[in-house]
Amino acid sequence: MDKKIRVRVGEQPAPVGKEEAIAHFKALLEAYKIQNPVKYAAKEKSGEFEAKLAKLQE
Amino acid sequence: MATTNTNADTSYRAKWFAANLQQTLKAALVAEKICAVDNTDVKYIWNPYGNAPTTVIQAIVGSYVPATYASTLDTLTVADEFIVSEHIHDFESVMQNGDIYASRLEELTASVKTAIDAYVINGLCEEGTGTYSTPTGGFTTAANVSVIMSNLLSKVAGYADTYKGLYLVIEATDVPGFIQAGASQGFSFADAWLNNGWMTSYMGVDIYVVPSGTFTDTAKGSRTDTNSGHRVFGVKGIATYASPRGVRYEEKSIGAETGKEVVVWGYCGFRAWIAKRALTVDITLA
Repeated sequence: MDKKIRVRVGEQPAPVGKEEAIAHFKALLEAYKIQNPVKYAAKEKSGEFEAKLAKLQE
Repeated sequence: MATTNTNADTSYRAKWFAANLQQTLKAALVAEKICAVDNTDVKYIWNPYGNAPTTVIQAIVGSYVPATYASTLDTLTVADEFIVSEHIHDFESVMQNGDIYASRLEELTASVKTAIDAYVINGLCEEGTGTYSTPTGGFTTAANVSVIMSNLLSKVAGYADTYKGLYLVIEATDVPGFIQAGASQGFSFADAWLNNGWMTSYMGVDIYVVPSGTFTDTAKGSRTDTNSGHRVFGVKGIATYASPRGVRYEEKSIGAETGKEVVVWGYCGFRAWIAKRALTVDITLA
């Protein structure tokens, strides 16, 4: 069976490990900090990012 | 006498799919309901709002001083592309006991619709400067719903723009709290709520339910969102979503493959204008 058919019948994303998810989230925050510094500061101050990171580490 | 097909009698699937796709998107997109939509062929749209002038109240004298007005530099840039493609081999469409083309085209349409909605809704959440944190439990706790709605309404009350209507976008997981709250309100409201069987508005606010996972922490095209655990509320029609020429479609024969390759794509840009951003409220769920 060729690759295209497998894609069409429903390709599930590969499971992401904890370390990978945390690294991905941290990279996302770096990009977010540049794009929306005001909201970044507000969300950082509120502890939202810490809470999300803690959840990823569970 | 046999009727000969003419251009008026027949057409290609590609033409009709493109038309159906536009209709479906207009009917199904939450973004179309809550934003101003621009389908013209432009990459940039400039801020349509100037500052608010001040009316002078004075004892009758008949003279006046013209004031200067200002507009803020603020630009919507169409920078992102939504694109999805599949190849349907001839043997697949021939040997399926159903219309595989129709099935796949419906799936492609749904995929584009979901992506555009998520892009615009997350954009509203990111660019809105109004803020509100819900009581613990958020919308899933029925007792919170009226409290949240009244607080949200107070954020936009008194502005002339509210005549355009109000919206609240929630995820499917928030629905139980709303259902319970609606059904337990005063008699006539509860009766209407139960009879109608589904929630369309609450306290004058139009409710739009999107799939779980629409508010996300992800990079989408040129934008990065951190909206997991957030929802959005605001005044309709004050943010702009641009989609030059809408969403389009092509199907083509390609080398070394039977059947057709289909591709659906569109360009997208979004802006909550600076002058009106406070009327879009970024809700943080507690």
